[in-house]
Amino acid sequence: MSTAEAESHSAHTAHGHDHHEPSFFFKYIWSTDHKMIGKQFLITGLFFLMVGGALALAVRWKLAWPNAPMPLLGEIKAERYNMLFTMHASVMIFFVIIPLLAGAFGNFLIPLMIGARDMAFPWLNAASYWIMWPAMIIISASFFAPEGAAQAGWTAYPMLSLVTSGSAQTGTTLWFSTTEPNLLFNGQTCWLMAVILVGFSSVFGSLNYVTTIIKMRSPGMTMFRMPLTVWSLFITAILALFSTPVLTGTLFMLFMDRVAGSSFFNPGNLYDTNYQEMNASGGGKVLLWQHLFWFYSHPAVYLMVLPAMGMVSDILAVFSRKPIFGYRPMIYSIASIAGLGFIVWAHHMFQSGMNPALGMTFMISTMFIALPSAIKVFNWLGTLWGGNITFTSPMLFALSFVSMFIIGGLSGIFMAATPVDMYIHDTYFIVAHIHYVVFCGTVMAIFGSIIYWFPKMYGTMMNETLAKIHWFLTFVFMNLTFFAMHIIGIGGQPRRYASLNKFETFQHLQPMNVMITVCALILGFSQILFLINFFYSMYWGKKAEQNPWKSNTLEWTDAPSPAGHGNWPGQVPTVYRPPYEYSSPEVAEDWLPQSKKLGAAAAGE
Amino acid sequence: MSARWRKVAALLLGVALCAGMSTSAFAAGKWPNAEGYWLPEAASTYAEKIDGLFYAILWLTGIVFVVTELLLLVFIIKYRKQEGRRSIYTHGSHKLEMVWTLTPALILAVIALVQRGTWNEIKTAPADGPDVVKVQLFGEQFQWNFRYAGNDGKWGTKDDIRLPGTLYVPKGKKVVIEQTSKDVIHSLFLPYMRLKQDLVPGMWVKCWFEATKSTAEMQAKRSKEWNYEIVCAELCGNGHSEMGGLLFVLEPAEYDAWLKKTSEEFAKGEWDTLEKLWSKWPVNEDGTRKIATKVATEEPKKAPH
Repeated sequence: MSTAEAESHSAHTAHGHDHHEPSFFFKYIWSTDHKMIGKQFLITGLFFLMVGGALALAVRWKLAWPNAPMPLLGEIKAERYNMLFTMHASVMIFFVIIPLLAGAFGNFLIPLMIGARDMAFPWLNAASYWIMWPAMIIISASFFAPEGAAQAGWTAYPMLSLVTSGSAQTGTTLWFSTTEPNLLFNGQTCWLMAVILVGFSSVFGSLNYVTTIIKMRSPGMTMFRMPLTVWSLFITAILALFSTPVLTGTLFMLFMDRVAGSSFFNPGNLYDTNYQEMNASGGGKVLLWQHLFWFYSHPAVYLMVLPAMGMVSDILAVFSRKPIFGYRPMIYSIASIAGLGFIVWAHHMFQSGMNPALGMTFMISTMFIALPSAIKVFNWLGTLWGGNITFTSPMLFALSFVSMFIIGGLSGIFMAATPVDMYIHDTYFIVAHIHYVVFCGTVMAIFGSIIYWFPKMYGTMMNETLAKIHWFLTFVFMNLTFFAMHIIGIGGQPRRYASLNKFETFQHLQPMNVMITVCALILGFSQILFLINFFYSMYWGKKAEQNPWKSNTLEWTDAPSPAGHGNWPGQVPTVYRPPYEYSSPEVAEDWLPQSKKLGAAAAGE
Repeated sequence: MSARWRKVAALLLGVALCAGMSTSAFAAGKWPNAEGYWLPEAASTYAEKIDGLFYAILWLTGIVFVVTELLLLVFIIKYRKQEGRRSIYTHGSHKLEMVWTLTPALILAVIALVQRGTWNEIKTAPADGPDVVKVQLFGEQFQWNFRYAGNDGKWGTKDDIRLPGTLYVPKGKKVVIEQTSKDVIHSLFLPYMRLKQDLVPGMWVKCWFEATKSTAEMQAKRSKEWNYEIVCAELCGNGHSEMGGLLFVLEPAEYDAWLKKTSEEFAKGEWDTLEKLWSKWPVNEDGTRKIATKVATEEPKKAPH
């Protein structure tokens, strides 16, 4: 119904655009083309991946050699160290993973995979990218603020986030002071403003994805014929729409506490390091922040993994030449993870001082969120079983995702068990879990997906040998780096410590910290191979055929490589079957595109 | 890539991974203390229970890990591309879905149920009693401040023992710590006791433990200089990694003697009592505490040295 309307309108528009090429500004800068916007998110996302990675290496250097000055940065004092890990996490979460998964892949793939010509709201789409720029500028500028960038952890718990670097709570009242800490130009407040803007980008994008998927699928593309990539992005967008406004409101409350003297989170009658009473109206609750923050940030971590799961599913099916095992259970699992994701937030707060009875309820919900993830792992194994597997580099990354996610997911069960969590909370065991799911999981999926969809984006292939070398080095060294963190976490090493110097209890863990750092340095520098491959192949890569992977999905079968204006050269493709009809008995080849119409003779079996 | 080279690469990868994971568990080949690289020695009544649950989960997840990774490995080797072979065309198995949904669900439900008792135990501070030691803890950037009621058993009196950075407890008796913070969130972490509890500004929270191994016993096994350490486990600012403290577990008789003597010393004014801190947190005579009051208008008196 509205698909047909949209289709006739787009066909008209496609013809109408035949005669003028957009200017440089409208093609590369303020583009409303979802593919260009996706690529814009990809480039800036990769840039911040380097920034976040460099920050991580600085963190690791300090931990391994706490008394030695670092190259370029010099001596890393404790306050600077706090800034390093705070900004590492903040950059990675808000400027790398979320923009890459939702912004880059969401934008680029959704219309192409459902047979649409563009997103439902192209201008809103451009806005969702360009609102990232003030956010990126503010977060980068915050490093140069008088007292440095944010230092209270990416979790920004009050009261620490209320008293660091220039805040109305500690009596700073000058708005444009150049000699004293400034109310606006300080790390924590800049952090708040930047993340609020990222939230808007997220919401604008999510509105587009949901609307486009519901309203603009091409004829025959029913919901249950969409690839899992699209399903995962759809459910992720709904998740973002429900959770992000809570974060935005919460960040705004903290912002007001810092600059306007409100006390949402300040209980009042507290004293600073000079035993001066802090300036606050009081009446707030410190734990309120934690509940509100985690209400968003827990769904956010699923936001950071679900699209990766969807893309991995597609890649596994293509390179196993097999249908996805359990397509509908996979969809229900994604939905369950998203739904359950809203009722587990206080598992971050078991030791926070909240009522222990809540510990019991959140323990139960957290235990059960392991279930849909397990179901997905079993279905991936089922997809591989009986397949005809080729080990291209996207496949290697996808397989890595599955094997590493098993580790990351299983370690979560330790944390869900509240008595065990009493010991491992705020130790490196948690850090290990985080990095297994996000780096060994999501980032591996991102690398694989970039290589896989590169021909569709740029019309050339990435170099396969270099990609495999990068994969091998990354796989080996990420395991060495992050598996050891489980061990030191069990040994009790706390998070966010600049050094273990002061504690006899942890001295024996120092050699392992050195080993982790050495492996992290090698891991970090190995990523240069990927970047070289990416940028070199963009200009000088081997020219790609339209469908180098012999995939069934619309973006490969019906759009050229690279995909052009309006996506589909003729009419939008009509869809006849689900996306994973590989090795179908209906045809001789081991693939059967969604948009291929089979004759009456072939249909009669 | 030819089949032979693929086999070589797979083998190298397998070897690299095994080597890597074992090395990461035995880095530098050093075993400098009793624990090596594993859990610190359990030294409290509930530490054993927590460790038991930890090991149960470790076994369970370990088995799942080995089985799933092995299946993954077997499948990618067995079902690698071969000319002339076609993949098995199947969309799934309803029966298998039921099995691998219900089985993990059951296992997770069991894990959830069996640990409730332990959680209740570790988070429910014992009621007041003659054998329960009560300590107040005021956290600040960057110091632990412990207070005991002293010989008179009343809080807020001159003989209260007020110690920065050191906690004394008797072995074999329940110790209840009631804690808050004067500025930001801190977290009391006693690794050997497995205790962790956040200190929240604006809130009083209770936690408890019962030590089973005295400092002397531990020192006999390790070294004369060894001590239980108090660790801060919530980012609290620049001094977070240096906010250390010491825990002394004494035999009950030793503890009683220490308490009596130290309380008398405080009563006589022989200790510097950090008035600027303690005056902010007055306590009523019945032991209940005011959350905070306004700063006293006169200058708090310093104890003579």
